[in-house]
Amino acid sequence: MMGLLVGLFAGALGALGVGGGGVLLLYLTAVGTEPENARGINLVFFLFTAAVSLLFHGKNGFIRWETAKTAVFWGVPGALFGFFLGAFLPKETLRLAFSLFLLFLGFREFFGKSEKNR
Amino acid sequence: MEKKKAGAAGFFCGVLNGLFGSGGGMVIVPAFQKSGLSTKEAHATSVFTTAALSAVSVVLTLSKGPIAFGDVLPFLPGGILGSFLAARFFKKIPAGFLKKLFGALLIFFSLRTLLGGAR
Repeated sequence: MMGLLVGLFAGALGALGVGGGGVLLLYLTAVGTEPENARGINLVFFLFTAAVSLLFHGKNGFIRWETAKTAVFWGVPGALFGFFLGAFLPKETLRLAFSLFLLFLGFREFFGKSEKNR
Repeated sequence: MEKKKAGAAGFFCGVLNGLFGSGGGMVIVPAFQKSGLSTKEAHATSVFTTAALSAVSVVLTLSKGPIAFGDVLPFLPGGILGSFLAARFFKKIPAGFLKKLFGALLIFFSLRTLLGGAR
């Protein structure tokens, strides 16, 4: 039951592109899943749910394919780089720095002006 | 110029995705908006980008060891339903709400990590 609710919430947030992955990771961590396993589970979960949402996003024309192609093109080497970097760098320090950055971003998004509805 | 921004954003997102397994999408949304996308376009395109990069991460993760696919199963029915509903009504959701929701989640998750996420 919990799984269903968590999945529902995480899936919806993931589809909106607002960070659903965090929800599932939080839950998995809370119930004692090993971080490495949680990461893998979250990745797979997102792939499935994202696929569903992308059917709609694509159909409704919200995906800017040119931008996406460029981002993914450069993202792949980025992912490889990040993956191997993880083996060498102190993750906790990075995570701290990154969290601070996200906090800043969050405030900016939340309190910033939004453009008129399209 | 915009291509450069999108490429840089993608690279950075990829690094974060490879490093932490998540969080990349959060950075990419504002970056896409700077590249000229509307709020909704930015969010939708980020789902695509993050999904593609997550696929890469999955392959890399599998190279290190198996993923417990069975553990994913309990979450999938809810996840697919939630994703379906959210995407279906994406058109109707006000961009301003999306922005606030995104901001709130960013603040929530970063505070949580900063204040007590240590394992």
